[in-house]
Amino acid sequence: MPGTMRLLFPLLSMALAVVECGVPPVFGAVLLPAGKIIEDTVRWSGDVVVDGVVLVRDSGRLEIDPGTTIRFIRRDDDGDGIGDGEIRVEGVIRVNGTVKRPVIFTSASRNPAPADWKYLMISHAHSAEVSNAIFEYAFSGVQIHYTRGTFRGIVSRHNIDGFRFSTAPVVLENSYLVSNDNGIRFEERGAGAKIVGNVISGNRVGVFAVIKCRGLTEFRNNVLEGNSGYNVKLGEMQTGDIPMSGNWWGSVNRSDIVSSIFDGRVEPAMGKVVFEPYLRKKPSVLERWSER
Amino acid sequence: MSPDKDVFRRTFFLCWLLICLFASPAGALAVEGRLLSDGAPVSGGIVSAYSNAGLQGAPVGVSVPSDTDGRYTMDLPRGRYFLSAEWGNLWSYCGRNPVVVAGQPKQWIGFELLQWERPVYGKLPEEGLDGLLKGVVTWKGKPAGGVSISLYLDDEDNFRGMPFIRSVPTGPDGTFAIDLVPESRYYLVARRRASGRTAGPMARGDLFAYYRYNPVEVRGGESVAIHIPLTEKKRDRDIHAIGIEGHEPGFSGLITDITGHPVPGLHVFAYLDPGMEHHRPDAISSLTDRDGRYKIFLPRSGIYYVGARAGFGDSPKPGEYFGFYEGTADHSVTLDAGEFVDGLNISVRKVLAP
Repeated sequence: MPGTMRLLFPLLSMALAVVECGVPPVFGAVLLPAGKIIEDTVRWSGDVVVDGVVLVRDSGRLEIDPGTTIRFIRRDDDGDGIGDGEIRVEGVIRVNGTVKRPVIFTSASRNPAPADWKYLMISHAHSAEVSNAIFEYAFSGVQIHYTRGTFRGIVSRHNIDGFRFSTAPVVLENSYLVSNDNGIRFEERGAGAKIVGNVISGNRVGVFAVIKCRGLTEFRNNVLEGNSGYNVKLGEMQTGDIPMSGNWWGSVNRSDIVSSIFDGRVEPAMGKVVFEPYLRKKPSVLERWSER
Repeated sequence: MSPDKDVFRRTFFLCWLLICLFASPAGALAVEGRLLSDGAPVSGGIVSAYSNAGLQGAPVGVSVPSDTDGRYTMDLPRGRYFLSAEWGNLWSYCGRNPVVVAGQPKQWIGFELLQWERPVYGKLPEEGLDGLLKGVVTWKGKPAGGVSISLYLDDEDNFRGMPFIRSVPTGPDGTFAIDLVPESRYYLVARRRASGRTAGPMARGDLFAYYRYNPVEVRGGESVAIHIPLTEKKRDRDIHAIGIEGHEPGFSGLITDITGHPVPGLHVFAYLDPGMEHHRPDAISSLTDRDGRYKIFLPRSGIYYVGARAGFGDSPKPGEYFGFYEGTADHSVTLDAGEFVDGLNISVRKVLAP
């Protein structure tokens, strides 16, 4: 093999590999291989590419600077149809985006699709504070369980579940959940959350209360409209009522609102969504996010 | 034969005799107990030991018949056994199954024998692929309410964990009816926990029964009626604490809270699947003692993902102690066949504690 070819062949192979993975080349990005473990305080900024699972251990703390973009390489080693890329937090996470410089969690694929990566999973962790972040093309943009967390100004779109929580007294405010299969999916299991001032629109189901909700969660001043299936849906084992008064349902017509809810009015064994009194005017929240 | 050879032969024979007499062969260890029925001793009853929870196949050990005082003894080699006792139409499934014979002193295992009746089949109004399983549950001859009947398709998990079907609890009349049961053979186990839980170890005072004529065949288009007499759990027994150290893999350690104080009353759970919270554990430890110590035996060698919690079944609740093993990043422990490791300590904290 001539000398030039000996040099070009590996480069060509690498380029082909990149094309096959559908991963656009990221110049200057930090590539985190599968099995990356964070045990101390680590700060991310700039471009980060995640290939596999990043674990923030009980002792670890992950700080993400404004303007950081985290891209997950699409890989599905276990063949379950969901990308394997994820960030799993058992310690502390701080996502410090700003309105002008949000932190973006997205797919590294050229043609991204929902479930390209798995999720930001926060489970049995110490705490989570997320501000001004965009989650897209994941199975679940965010999943948080058994952990207190605050999420302000997030956008979760083009995921299967936009924001999913259980046994987690989370605060979700001023956020935009759109174009997901479920905008919010939750199970209280003894821990109430606060869902205030969000736009939950353009999903198949806006809010899915799966099971074991006892009305501990506060839904207030949210926009719940334009979800193709239901604005709110209860799971078949959800027998308790869900208080959701003080929200905008895309209409002031009561029957329109009722028809956008799947609850005990349809299946008597289920609880009911208590949506009255409801807002008669759309609150002016978060229009800025729709421009992103 | 020369005198020397004769001395040698006599000495060799004497040694062999002494070995037979005093060096009990590995595992010729005994179980003993008493057979009773309505409080009276049962004479001539037999205790049988099986290698499987469903008591299928021939027993691997049989006791001598019980004496006039109802007492029996049985020698068994080292191992895990499922015991039942029988005399005529009287029968009992040992509430301590599996019984582990592992070199400990002679174990006392008593049986309360009950009268059992065979299933009675009838035709349903409509033919179909499903059947109806119905019957009554009694305790001391009276209907027992609050009892759930679990139907298992096999005995692989020793009738623990999620059954194929579980009935709603019986009402005050003790009756139950499970319709649309797919045609198959089922092992029936009835339980009433005073705690009201549907999972976890049985405690003293709980009621249970393993149906004598298991597995019960459910036929499409037919009903099958059964009567299940219950037995009372006589004492707490942490079945998970019992294993054969040196033969079965396992580990032990200490559970402490975040201040370093031992936490009694927790279980350690071991899973073969890393997604541990979404599955039933493959092994459960003894409850931690007052010093926070636990011991767990595993079904086989391999990689186990380990955590500890106070509850049982369902997901951890706010305020419940919970923690993962942090000796490895993925909370795993790898054990070879027969390997037993001490020192796997776990720190727990209360779920959602500030």
